[in-house]
Amino acid sequence: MAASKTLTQRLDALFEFDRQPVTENKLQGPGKFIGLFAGEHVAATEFVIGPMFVIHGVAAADLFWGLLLGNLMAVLSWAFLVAPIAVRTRLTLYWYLKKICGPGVTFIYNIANAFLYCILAGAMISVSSTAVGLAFNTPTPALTDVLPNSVSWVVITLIVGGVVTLFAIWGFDKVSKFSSVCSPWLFAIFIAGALALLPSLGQVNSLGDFWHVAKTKIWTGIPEAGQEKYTFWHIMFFAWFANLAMHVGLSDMATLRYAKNWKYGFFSAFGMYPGHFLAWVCSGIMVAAVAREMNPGMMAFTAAGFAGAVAVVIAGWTTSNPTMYRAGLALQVVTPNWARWRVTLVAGVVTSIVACFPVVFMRLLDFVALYGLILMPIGAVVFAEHWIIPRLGLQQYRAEKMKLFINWPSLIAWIGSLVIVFLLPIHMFFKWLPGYFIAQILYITLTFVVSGKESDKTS
Amino acid sequence: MTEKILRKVAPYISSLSLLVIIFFAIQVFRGHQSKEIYIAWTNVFTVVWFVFSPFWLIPRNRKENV
Repeated sequence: MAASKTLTQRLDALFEFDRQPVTENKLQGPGKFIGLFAGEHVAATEFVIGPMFVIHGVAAADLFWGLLLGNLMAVLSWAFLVAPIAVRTRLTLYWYLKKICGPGVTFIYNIANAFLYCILAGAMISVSSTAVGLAFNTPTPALTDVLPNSVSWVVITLIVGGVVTLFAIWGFDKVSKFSSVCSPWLFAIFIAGALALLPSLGQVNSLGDFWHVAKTKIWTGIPEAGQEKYTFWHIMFFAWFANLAMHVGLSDMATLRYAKNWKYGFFSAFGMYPGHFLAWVCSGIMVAAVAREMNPGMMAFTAAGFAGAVAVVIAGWTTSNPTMYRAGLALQVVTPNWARWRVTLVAGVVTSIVACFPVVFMRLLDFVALYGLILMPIGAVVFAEHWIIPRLGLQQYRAEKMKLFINWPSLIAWIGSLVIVFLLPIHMFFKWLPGYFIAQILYITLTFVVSGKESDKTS
Repeated sequence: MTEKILRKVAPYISSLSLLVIIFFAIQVFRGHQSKEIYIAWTNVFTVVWFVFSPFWLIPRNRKENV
């Protein structure tokens, strides 16, 4: 009991700044949210995701309709799932989760998040390494590589990882400010690179010409050898769940709790359509122009010269920096006597080692799916607690009122739904949707059972 | 005084630099410009962007992020 209390205190201390609900005078206007969403969704991952769609042989019509609809679903998820809860509670997910699931589950959530952040930051470091490797003629790993393919790749990746880690330790805040400067330029590089390389794929004088080139040279519908074919549904679901932890998983409550009203969730469209539509289309055009070789550094260098290679390095760096910082923050709970720099250093070393394995960025799409899937049930539990539990006449915020360390229905719903969806014989991209409802049903049923037992005891 | 002027003109200069990068890319797309020239100007205007954009994109005293 004493140990759990200390754990709770340590966890609370880390998030102390966000403890109180946002006050009226701190609410932000639409401009802030438009800028925030627009800046957040043009990142290093865009240099990998667009090309991956091409390599997986998606057809042009499937790509455009899939992205259009999938991004719309993502925007609606922000507007109807996160924003209403965020503006009603004005709390971060951390504090709201603690009220609902207890500090024990919040702790497990934090550790899972830290682990997943390390892999994500590792993938970004690998992407940067492909650009740095250009200067040293380092062979980039092949699409199917799991292990590092050369010593020089390992050395370059460890050096890039080391530099990223040092910046995360010494100048996290400065890098964050620097990344806000990079986003508009990165977006311009995506557009310019695609425009400059398009003529190498065929004559384009009209929209009809573009569509012909798109269908026959870029999104041909034929996957590369050994790659699985993606259809409209794969693209639609990917666009929807690319930020699953943020919208359906509710972690963007941290941002949207500053919104004046829930409709600000619709501003996510300013991030989705430029970043997860245009940038993915542009990087798809670029990879088709470099003979479908999955090498983000070389692809951007061909498209925009030195500035392109720098774009890949900077995008990888500015994306992995906050990710590594967040991982360090989450891990600090386990290492209470360690200084922040020490925890970030450990997270950085782990991340850099992970980055050496090309599988983390060559299988980025699967990892993004897994990342969202693992954290999604927590969003389902919070949604059920906020909207459904009070309507069923059950006690809301049991964990807080009864001072529970672990609200078992929430933990069982989280793990149980994941076990069930992993057993479902459907593609990884589609597992989260049934999983969301399974998690809610499990949570509500178990809460009903537990509440019944508690009322029996009381009577 | 210089900083005040810089802060005022920086948004225009930096935004213009991105437009120039896209303009040269369009010229390549239309076949009116060589790719080498476009790449050279992209490098130059990338530098212009990074010199001027911090003056208006990084607030001087940002106490709290959204």
